[in-house]
Amino acid sequence: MANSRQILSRRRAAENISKVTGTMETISAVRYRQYYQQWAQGLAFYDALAQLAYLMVTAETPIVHPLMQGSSSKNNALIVIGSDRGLCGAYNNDLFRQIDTHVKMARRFGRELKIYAKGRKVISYMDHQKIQPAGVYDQFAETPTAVQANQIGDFFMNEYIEGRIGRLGIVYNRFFSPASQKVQTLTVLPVSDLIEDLTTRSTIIWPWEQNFEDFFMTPSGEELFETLARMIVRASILGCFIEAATSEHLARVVNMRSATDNADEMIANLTKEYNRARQGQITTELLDIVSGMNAMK
Amino acid sequence: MENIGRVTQVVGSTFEAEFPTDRIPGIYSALEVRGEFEGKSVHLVGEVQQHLGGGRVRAVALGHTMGLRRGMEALDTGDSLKVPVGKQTLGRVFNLLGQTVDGGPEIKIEEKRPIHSKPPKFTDLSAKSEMFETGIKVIDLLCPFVRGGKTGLFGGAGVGKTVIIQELIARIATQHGGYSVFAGVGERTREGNDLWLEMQRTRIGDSAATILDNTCLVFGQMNEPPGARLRVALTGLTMAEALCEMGGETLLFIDNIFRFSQAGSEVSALLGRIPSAVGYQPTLASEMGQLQERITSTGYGAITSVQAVYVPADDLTDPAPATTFAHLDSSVVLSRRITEKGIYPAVDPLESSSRILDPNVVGQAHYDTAQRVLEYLQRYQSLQDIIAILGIDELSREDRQIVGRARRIERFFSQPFMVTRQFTGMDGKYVPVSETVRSCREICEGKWDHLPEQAFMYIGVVEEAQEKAAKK
Repeated sequence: MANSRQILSRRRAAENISKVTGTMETISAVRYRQYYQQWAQGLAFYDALAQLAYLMVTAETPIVHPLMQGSSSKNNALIVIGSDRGLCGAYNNDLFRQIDTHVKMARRFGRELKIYAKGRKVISYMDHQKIQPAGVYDQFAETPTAVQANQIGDFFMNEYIEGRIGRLGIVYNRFFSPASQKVQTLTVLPVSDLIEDLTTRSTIIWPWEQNFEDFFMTPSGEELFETLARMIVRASILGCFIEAATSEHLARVVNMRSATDNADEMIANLTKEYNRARQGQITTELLDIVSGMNAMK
Repeated sequence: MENIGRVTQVVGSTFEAEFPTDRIPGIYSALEVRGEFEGKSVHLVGEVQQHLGGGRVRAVALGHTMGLRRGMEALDTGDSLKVPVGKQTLGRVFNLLGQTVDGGPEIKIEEKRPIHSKPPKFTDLSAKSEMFETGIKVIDLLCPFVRGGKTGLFGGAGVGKTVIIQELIARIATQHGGYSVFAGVGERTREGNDLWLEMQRTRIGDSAATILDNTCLVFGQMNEPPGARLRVALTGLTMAEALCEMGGETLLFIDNIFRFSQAGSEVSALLGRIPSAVGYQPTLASEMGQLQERITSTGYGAITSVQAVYVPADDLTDPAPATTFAHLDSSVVLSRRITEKGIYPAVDPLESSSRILDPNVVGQAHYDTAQRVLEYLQRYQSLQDIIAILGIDELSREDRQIVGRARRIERFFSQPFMVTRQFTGMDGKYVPVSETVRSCREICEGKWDHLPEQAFMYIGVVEEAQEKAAKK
């Protein structure tokens, strides 16, 4: 019967899908654990940076640094971190919506938007939307090495100081906890915005009553701040890539698990359907033979 | 001189009678058996099906065989069963023997015709192709009815065949100038009664006449023996033929043609025929052909017929519905998959078809829109497994857009009915075909992508979705 063959081929397709999604789940689960560890280890470093930065910007003698000041440039830069592969649910779609918002905002306020894209999905989306990326990161697979992240950070800081860009944001899936990830835009430059974000997000309790004035510093506060600001920007960029990768793999684990479950359920249903069709066919044929024989008697 | 034989054997709803060998009644001749059983008179009509040799004939009983005995007299009427036809039949309810069963006064019989007759010659057939608007969106767009043609409503148990047929009566018969005939074949007696009462109440257009005044009903419902269910369709058809010759356009509704095949299969084995595939009678296709070929349009007048066809176990490849398919101009297939989504009428857009969905008949715009709708629905169908497993987020942008529109179209095809008003609380909606085409084209073009899918449920033209969405 044509029908039962159809059911079989559908079941075969579902079985293949289930194998693929099952494997992807396993792989992503392992990668997720690796990235999660990196992320967790990074937290302490961020907190320390944030503490220090906070102390410095709240000092009585304010620190004057080009990275702290707003810029008059009309250009905004955006790093968009998406994934190379699909099969991770709404992971990329939420990013795309955020890009749309930025594009619309930039148009509204008459600003030029330069988008630096990471991930094939992002590039193909921009291609579809006819947005030309200002740059594409394809020199690393998922997360940059520290050196690469430093290069990226230095590039943007240079652009900022020289007035070619007025803001730098990173659009990525922020990893709050294994139960919660959300697309957000982290403003990295000017650094004042970044420090504000870091201090509000950090998990630490302020241990000291001291402030910056209590320390005797050499070299000067400005010089120290220069180093610190650069560290924060570089670390944030690396951190965002790691968080995005963590979120991506977690999203994939969740989606592939439900896909595998769905496929298995479908296989079970199709098996039932096939058995019923097969049994029905046998019964019909038997009935035809038996009643034919009886009629011949 | 009367030709009288004797009943020699009774098996279920068939019996055998013996006649003098030189005066055997012909095939399809009606036999009348009269006698007495436990003080009650037995009166039964049978139809000769086989000659067994030696003067014996085997006949199908057209009524209950209760009380029938060997030795009773069987009278050969010399002709096949005849039923009254003509204007007198209008407004009345008959059984298959042409007797009134509505308790009204006796009718004056002016003409009787045999229920068996030859189909019109093929040179007499008229080959008009004109669309018959029903105001039901999905039907008008994808499987338009043919004026003077045959339409089948296919569906498994409880998907709404009878509701659609009653809706069509309410929609078409109220605006239709000619006569209508309704043949109830093996369906629920209650439904027949509902229909009869409804027809007495509903008026045609603004006139004082009720639908019943221009309609003739013939019932052989579930309670009747197989012989009755086998022949009641022919009785209805004979009456329709006569009305058609007088009044031009005639509507013939048959609910349910499958019961005709089923009744045939019930008596087939008793008549000693070797069953064919799935236990059906070997003569299934020719029986169906004899009936269907008479439902046609000729130069003298046209019979537009709508037939409900039960599909056993939702399997369209079952021999009974499969043989019916071939005769139809337009097939409306109702599907359980769609009733499960709560969409009524549950017309399956991809299974249904019509001969006149052709740019030369319905027009290029209608044809193009229908093809585009089918293309979208087909794509949606083929993506369904992927959506079920991986989720809609994994589709490409184009596919997601198509799926969104296909889901809107699917819901847009639901429509409130006039006859279901008491159940749904919604007034029936009549949508002219031009509006249906425009609405569907706009949905395909993406003009209504911004409205939620749910807003497309049970509306008329597409603008109502806007109002519905605004209300929430």
